[in-house]
Amino acid sequence: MIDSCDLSQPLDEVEALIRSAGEYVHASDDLRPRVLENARLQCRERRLRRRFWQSAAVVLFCGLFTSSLIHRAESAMEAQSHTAAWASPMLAPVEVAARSSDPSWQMVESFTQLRLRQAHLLRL
Amino acid sequence: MAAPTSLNSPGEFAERVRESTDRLMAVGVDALGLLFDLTSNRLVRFATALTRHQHDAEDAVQTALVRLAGEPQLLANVQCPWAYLLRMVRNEALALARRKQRCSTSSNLGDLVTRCRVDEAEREESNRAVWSALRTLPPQQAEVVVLKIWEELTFAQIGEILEISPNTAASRYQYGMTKLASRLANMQREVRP
Repeated sequence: MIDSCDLSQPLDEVEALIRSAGEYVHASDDLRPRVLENARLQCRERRLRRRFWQSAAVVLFCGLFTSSLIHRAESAMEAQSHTAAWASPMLAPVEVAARSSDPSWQMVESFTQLRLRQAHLLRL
Repeated sequence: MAAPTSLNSPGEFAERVRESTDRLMAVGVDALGLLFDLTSNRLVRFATALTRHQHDAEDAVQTALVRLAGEPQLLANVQCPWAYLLRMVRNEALALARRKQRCSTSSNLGDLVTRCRVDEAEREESNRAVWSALRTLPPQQAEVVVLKIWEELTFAQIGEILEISPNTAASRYQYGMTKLASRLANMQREVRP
């Protein structure tokens, strides 16, 4: 590694001349306010962007949570109505049969409903 | 008001830059003024040697400092924040020079914002001659000269900042100094025939 150059005497003088010119140039007066203002502006923008994305994430989470709640409530109601249909065959026997998509099962269900209805009538 | 550039030894100065950047990381953008006051003049003269235009140099310094204010964590694992800052400004200055294609040789110093104290008035001419001569150097040589003489860095440190070997830095310095010596001698001959 070369860390000191074998420069001749005139180069030492040049080096001294250059060193003395080091403080000749300086930053213009408007650079400081420009830099600080831009930095503050950028930080504010960054903060706003971060808040926007945080809010968007919260809204998305709430949406997903609400939709899952609604879905769960719907399926619970569906299950309840299904049980109720089986519990009181006189009230909705046709709907229960209609819910089954398989025709053979529909027939079985209708037949069962019919037997239940007959049994109910005989009991009366 | 920016601090004079020659108050500290290189090690002391680097330590003060570290303190300022630590403060920037802790406090945020409100501590940028301190770092600006400490480094702006040095950064501007370094970038001016690269871009050969002070307005472009100031734009490069501004971009680098604003970026640093927004992302102070860039300096979190840096061994020498001052070297990192110099490298940031250098990258911005080179990008700007590439975009604007202003890297043509110019001996006109009209863009420079200069400071010359009353007791140094007789030095004005030689200062202008130095800056004119510096502008005639290729940027690769000018940046090494600036870092070696004004920032008092070793060739190893210069090599780290410029991502070149210390030997390359030393040879660029030698070439640059030889050219500067001959150009300054020519200027002197022109002034005093």
